Amino acid sequence: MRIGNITDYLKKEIFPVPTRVMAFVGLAALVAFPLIMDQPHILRLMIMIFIFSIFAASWDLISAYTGQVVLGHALFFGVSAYTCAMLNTHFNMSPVMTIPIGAVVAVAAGLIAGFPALRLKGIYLGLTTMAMPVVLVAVIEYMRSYTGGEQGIIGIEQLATSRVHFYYIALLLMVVSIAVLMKITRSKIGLIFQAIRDDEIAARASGVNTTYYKLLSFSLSGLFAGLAGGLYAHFMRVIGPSVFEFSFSFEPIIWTIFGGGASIVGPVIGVFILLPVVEMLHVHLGDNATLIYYLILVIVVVFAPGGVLRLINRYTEKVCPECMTVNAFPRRQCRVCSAKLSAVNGE
Amino acid sequence: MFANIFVIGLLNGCVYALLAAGFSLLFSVARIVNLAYTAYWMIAAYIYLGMTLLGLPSWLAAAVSIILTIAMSLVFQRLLDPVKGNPMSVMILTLAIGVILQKSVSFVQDSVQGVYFQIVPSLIKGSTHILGVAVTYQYLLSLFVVLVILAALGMFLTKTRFGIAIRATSQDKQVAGLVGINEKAVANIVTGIAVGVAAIAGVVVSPLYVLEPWMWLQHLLVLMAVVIFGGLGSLKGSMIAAFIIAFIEAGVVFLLPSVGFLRSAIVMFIMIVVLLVRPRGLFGAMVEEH
Amino acid sequence: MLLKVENLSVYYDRALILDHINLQVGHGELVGLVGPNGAGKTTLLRAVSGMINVEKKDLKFSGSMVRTLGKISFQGESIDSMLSYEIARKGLIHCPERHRPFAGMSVLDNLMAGAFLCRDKREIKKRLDNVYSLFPRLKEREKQTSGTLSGGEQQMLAIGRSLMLKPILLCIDEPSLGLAPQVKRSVFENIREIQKQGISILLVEQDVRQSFALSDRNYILSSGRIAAEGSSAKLLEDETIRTSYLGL
Repeated sequence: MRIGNITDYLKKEIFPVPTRVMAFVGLAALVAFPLIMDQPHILRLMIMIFIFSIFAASWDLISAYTGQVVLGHALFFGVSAYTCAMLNTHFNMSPVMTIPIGAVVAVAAGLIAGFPALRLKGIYLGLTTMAMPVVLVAVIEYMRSYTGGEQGIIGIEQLATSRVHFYYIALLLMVVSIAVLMKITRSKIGLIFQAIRDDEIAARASGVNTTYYKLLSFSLSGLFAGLAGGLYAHFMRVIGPSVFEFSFSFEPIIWTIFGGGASIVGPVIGVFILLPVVEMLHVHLGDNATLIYYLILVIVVVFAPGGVLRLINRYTEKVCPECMTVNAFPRRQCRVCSAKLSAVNGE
Repeated sequence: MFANIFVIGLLNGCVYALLAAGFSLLFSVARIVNLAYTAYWMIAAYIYLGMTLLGLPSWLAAAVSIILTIAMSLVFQRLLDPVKGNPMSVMILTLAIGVILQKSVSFVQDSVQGVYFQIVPSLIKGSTHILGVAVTYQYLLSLFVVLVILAALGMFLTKTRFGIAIRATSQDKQVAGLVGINEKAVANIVTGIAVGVAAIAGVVVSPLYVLEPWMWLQHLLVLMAVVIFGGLGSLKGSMIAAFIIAFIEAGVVFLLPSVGFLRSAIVMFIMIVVLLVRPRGLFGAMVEEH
Repeated sequence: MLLKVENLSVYYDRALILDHINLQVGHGELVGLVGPNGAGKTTLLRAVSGMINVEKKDLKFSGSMVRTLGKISFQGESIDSMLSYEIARKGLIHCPERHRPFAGMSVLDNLMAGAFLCRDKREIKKRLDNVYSLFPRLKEREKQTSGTLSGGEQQMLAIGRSLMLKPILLCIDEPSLGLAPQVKRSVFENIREIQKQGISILLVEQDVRQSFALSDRNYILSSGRIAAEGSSAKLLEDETIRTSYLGL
């Protein structure tokens, strides 16, 4: 019965849609990956990809879905990473304990960062959030006896003994995080988030408690960014104030814009493409890698303004105008309601 | 001590005010946050430096640098057209442009051997004493040029036909179109003026600083703080905020040298507090979206 | 004919806002366009003045789509693909709804913005004097920030700003909106004077009584269609029109 349900689900919801087939195959490939590839630096890259996917998706939730411009997302990531590092090195707490605590601290940071969002909008909010990591770095450098100052904290315990082990933990956490985030964004809460983004006053006028939902979005975003930060600390085993840097806050935005915002999957695609690209550029070009990386970014953003995901969707899918079901591109008729599908997408 | 704070604060205040004026103008007309703005300032300084190293007389080097920088900004402006509807994409693109400029400078620097690339030659040499502080003529020249540009900019915006058109466009793009103002042309002119202002600042002020390709990011943060602190789109607000922030910075550096490295953080902290009390900055213009 | 609109349809995404509109304004005419809220009056003006063409570009980014079909010509020249600033340069001036002054600028600067296209100082002075003689109140408030003016004064300013362009055809959108009855009357008085200066006018109004008293000819717009057209007297004679469209 159970098996029957699953095959039924696969047949009805996965196989008819090319992008879902791709995601399914991709996921299977990721599960099998360590069996065929055991080079440590490749595994390291993959683990980074998983961690940053969670980080990027959490920015997507708060900014692209809820419309709260956060330009200092490194705050949540870094706060959690530092919490984990300090708890682990000062109090010998095990990673199994520190990562959840780190995530909870990041939620608190989310609530604090969300507080200005109740009054500020757009770029004003953006700059306030951008300023927060700067202030925090100053605090860290000032309290160097606890935080290691500019040197950071070294000797953080590994979460897993072997790299392959870590790989599967990170993969699992990423899949679960992405699934939860997608579930949230497709639920009523997600709808309310988008309503706040599109017209906050109208949302409030229709009885939505926008204060509550904005803070909810901030704390959820903080939670996942914090999870990523904790994993990062226990994977790298050393962290410094650089996790609060300007560029660290802008990376998730770049991944999201590149992959396609307000989709949760978009930023993940962004990370999966861009991180290996950066790695490759660094290997081959050394110091000039950043220059080329940003040139590529400019070209992609200019020619695919909606992100890579939109581009893929446009050539593989059609959305039924009647029932909003996703159909494979060659179909002429909707697979659920048999409505006629137009030849060109979006017309 | 206080004379030092005054001298440094005054110069930085003037530079911040000038950059903030340009940035504000750019924002109020094109409604985009151009993160590459301070990168234009940096690139102008470097082009000027490069030209003088090639043996051009300084006035010619200055002119070439300003013109090249403006031309560059107008080309980059085109790139923003396809993503105009998405402020985040615009922001990322302008950031990318800034990084590309920075990395290009580093690239050139690395490939040309044997040249010390950090000290920009002064336009004039020599120094004098004011209030017991040694002040170079270059400093006085910078101050003078910056003040003249600020005054000229103010006159241009309030008294001339184009200045009025620019202000009208920044207030209401659609209605500006209805009175025959070509918004796109205005946006180009404003980009030219704003970047030109930044370029002039780069040429005139850079001899006073040690030049680094990445410094635009640091200045960007301060600049954003100034502009937001003063209220986006308010020139008066930016001016006042520029001097407040410059004097706070100078004050922290000279009065509390032990925490001098915290100066940006202190500025940021004050800015966050101000924004929480006044969500649109000190003189935030009521920017209505139609 | 000065302005000729033929079979104009406007879609916002899938919604049909205007449905095959035919409308004409002749030289020296004052044509009224009346109809209830949401009939599409403002959309029609926005299409005529090219504002929709500007909006089209902006909306494309947000995924929405505006489509216009049909022909619009002004003085025999096709203007349906022009942007608003190009149309304004032809002498077809749209005075927008809710006045929309450049709120942070002084009254004088608002008027000077209206004179942007004119480089002749003496001509500007002449137009300014004309506006000030029509609206002496604006002269008194010359230096005041326009955002702080009263509703009636803002409406005067909006019309004055349009007059600074020396229009051939002036399209005024809801000049009486939100004004006190007394102020309303004086605004309509001003409109009549403007017509006397030889400027053709397309007047969009909800206040049917006032508009009919002023106009040479009228169009009644209802749910995106022209429901009826003709002189005020003729329209008022028709019982069905009077009750179902005009509420008189």
